[in-house]
Amino acid sequence: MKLTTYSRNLAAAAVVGITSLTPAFAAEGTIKFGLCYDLSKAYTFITPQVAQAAQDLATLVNSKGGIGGHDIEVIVRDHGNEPQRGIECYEQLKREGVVVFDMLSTPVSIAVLPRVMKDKNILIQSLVGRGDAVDGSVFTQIFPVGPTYLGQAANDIAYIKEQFGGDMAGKKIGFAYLDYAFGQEPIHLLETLAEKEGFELALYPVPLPGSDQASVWTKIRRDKPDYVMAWLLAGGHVVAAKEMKRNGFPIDKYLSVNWLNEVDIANIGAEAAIGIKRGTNVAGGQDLPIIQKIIAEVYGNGKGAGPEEKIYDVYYNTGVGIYSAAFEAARLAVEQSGYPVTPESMKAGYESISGFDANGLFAPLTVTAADHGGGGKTRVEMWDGKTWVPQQEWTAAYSDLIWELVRESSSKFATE
Amino acid sequence: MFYRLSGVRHSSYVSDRRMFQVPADRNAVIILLMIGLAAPFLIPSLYLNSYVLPWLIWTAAVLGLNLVTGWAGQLHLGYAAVMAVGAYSAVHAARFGIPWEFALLIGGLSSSVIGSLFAFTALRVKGLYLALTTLAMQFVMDWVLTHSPTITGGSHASLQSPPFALLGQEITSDAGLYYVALGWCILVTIFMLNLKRTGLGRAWVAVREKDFAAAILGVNSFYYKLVAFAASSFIAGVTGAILVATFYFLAAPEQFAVNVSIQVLAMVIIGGLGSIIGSYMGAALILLMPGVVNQVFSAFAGLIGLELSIETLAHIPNAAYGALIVIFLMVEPLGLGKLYANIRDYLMIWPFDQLKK
Amino acid sequence: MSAEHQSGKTPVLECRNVERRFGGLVAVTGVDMTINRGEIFGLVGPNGSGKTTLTNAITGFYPPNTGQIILDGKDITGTKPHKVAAMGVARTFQNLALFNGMSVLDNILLGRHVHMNPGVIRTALYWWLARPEEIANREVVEEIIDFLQLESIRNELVDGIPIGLKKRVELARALVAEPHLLILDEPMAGMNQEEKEYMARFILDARAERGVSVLLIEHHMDVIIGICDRMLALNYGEMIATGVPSEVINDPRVVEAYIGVGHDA
Repeated sequence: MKLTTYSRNLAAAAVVGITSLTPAFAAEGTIKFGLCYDLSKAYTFITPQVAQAAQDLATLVNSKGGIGGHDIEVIVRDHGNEPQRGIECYEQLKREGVVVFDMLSTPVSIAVLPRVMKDKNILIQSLVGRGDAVDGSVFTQIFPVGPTYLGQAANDIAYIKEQFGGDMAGKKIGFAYLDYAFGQEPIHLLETLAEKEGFELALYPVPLPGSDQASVWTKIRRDKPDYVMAWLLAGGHVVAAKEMKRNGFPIDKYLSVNWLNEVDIANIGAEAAIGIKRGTNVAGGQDLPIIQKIIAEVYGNGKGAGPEEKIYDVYYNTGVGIYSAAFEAARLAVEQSGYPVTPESMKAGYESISGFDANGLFAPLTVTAADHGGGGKTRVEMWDGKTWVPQQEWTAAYSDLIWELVRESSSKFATE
Repeated sequence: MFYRLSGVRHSSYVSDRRMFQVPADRNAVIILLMIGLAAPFLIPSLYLNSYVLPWLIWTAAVLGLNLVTGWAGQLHLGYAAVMAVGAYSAVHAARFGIPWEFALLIGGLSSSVIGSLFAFTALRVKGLYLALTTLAMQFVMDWVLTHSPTITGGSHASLQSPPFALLGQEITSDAGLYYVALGWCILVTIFMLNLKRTGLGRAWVAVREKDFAAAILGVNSFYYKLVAFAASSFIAGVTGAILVATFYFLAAPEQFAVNVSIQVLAMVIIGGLGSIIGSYMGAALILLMPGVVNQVFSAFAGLIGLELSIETLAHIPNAAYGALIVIFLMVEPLGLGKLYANIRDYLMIWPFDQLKK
Repeated sequence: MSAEHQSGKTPVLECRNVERRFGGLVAVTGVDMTINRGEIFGLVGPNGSGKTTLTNAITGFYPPNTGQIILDGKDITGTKPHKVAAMGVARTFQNLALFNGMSVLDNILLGRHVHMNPGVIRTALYWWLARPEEIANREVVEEIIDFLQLESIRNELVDGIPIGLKKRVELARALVAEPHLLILDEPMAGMNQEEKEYMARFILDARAERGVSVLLIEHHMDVIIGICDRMLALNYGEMIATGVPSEVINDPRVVEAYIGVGHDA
């Protein structure tokens, strides 16, 4: 009977549903990374690329024998940018034997942070979450490898200073930012730097979600700043580009935060965007050994985790960057303390990364117990109509000042 | 099940005003309560800690919003903002060294004060205008939180909550935290059940249904609306504080942003305005369904061997979950609580249902 | 107008020269009316003559533009409706104003609101703080339920009961407030003869047993003649006759207002 077949199938589905809810036995011998990502809501402009990069890089490493003979297993789940589901995901993967987590969302990273700290697991927190988490002495379990937004802003100022021949006195720097935590974060630092370097800082808050910038750019036209640093996201840059054109602001004096990718360039127009600059912590483009290897050995063999066109995006490089550092940490962990990878050995692994640059993908990274950021180097790149051209060497400027601010903030978290 | 109303007689007004008049209901509640108390020994810690505990806390929140929206009939789109006031005041109080019992009370009271202050201005308008005014209040609170480092602890901020303790006893175990959430949820539920049999509850319903008729009975609608806002805000404040103390372990502005207000309102509407059991169901559906649908769907996709990209896999359950909500509301626009009541009423008088019609 | 005042009777309600306008429209003007304690006072007039406006002026919904309203010797002109209720005025509505989502019992209990002091803490601590009050008031309510023979529908939702009973429930709700003045706005509209008789009997009994004074708005002249002590007829917002019903209804102006200009009256 049709009905019985149907109900039998349903029952089977239900059984599978239930068994999948119970903690699965850890498959023998893999090293697990839990990626609880927002694949459906606010962070979808970056999560698919990063998740794909992590999986591709794992495939590449596994094809060469994995880490010390153990395969890497990348588990990707959706949390829809909701703290509740992020915590669900964390608690579930934790019970499946995952010790290294990545949430790639500021609210969710913040939501799981106390749990990660209490459980003494490892949280990869590159590009999101609290900026002061680079302070390894307080946030012992958190690894925001890469620069903080503070570091990036300081490096931007250093770059602009370089353009003015080392003297910023009397210059005017505009700071256009999304008016919430992400955009506001660097203000305090910029104010300090303005005092120190003698330039004038003009603040241009852009209301969320960043699509209305008309009044901001009218003001900028009146103020005539020498450079505008833009802490905007994705589409915000496209709007800014239109407004720059209308208000006659030169696009080559526009210095974006790292959230500006090939999709945005295409939306601005590859020609129109010539000269636009961005700070970045990973090299853009595909002319990099590791990306070439992935193209040849992973996609060449049809083992890519997603469509190949996703590779041609700086966020893919970002993902490869985050995970080459993570896998390097795991490699060091296995080398130092053997298998299985525990939170302690993974932490030790991370903290012994030294001078690692993934063959030129990013600035040489040295993570220590005190500095979980790995040095915080970035560089400014320029769009030349076809690709991103580096404008300077990897730098980390005003480190002392940044660390002062970081410690001031992290100490508030610690006092309890 | 067979004519469950038979044999229900009362010989005093006290027994006539019992919480649950039908023995079958009473037994069901006792069994549920026992399951609730035994849950830490029955349910694996994963589900206890990341599903049941937040569900109970959000249910308390939904009941609080249902009080002002379902009972007193005042649309409120700034509920999360009120929760934030309670959460931040309580956490600050606890960090200052005040015992948690009092910190929770401080959280509740300060929410109550702020909530009523807003209500004072908001209650000059009605309906959609009131909704917009409360929404504006949410935006004001969002702005205050993101712009006051002293409250939230700086940009990208999170304010750690000190370990939760009651009566000098630190509570950190999964089971302990669960009991805190359960206890609060039961307290709020009892309050709401009492509303069904006191003058306060009647006065609110009167204000909601016909305020001119309420006035002629001596009910001061402005005063009772204000009391509704104050009481609901108190529940919101304590709930926000407990949410932070037992689930998030720190307070961050995004936890109380405008989308959260909308979400709680959605729980109220899906559950049913003015329905207590509906509040439980609404919270469960909105809070837990996305995750469950997601898991069932990926299991199902795995079963029939569907090869999908991770992105599609993430989006399809969202669509299914949205469809589920639409279907529920089409079947019973008055919410899940009403759906339950229909079934219950049917069973209550079965097999004599034709008599009722 | 005060000719009808009988010595020894104290007025419950006095309206002095009451006028109420809505923009340019004069709904009620120059109305003087005195209702004595224990009196059943009829108020008649064609549709739109200002009967309901006058009751709304008394209960505070539309305070008079000029004139005074005096309840138990106290000037209540411009007092808010909920305060007027607390001072002992209860009313029923022409189109019913019951709360449909509530049971008959809860609706009637609401009538006790002015004698109760509900609050959040009382509700939270129901068993200790609210229950004694609820039970005490329930006893009053049960008396009225008994009086108006509503026992069998006590626990029904108001939604589901017939209109005649709804009118009775509304009367019960007004009576439990133990008002000094009860305003009944067309309590017999849409009733058949038997129901009307029941209702008339309830009104008379209410006065006899509870000493309540009644302001009765009604179209059914037989009822007015049957139970009212005195009455007032309004037309176009003005008083056209007042006095004992048998006299008032024969007043040519009343006849004219109701039946139209007589050909040879």
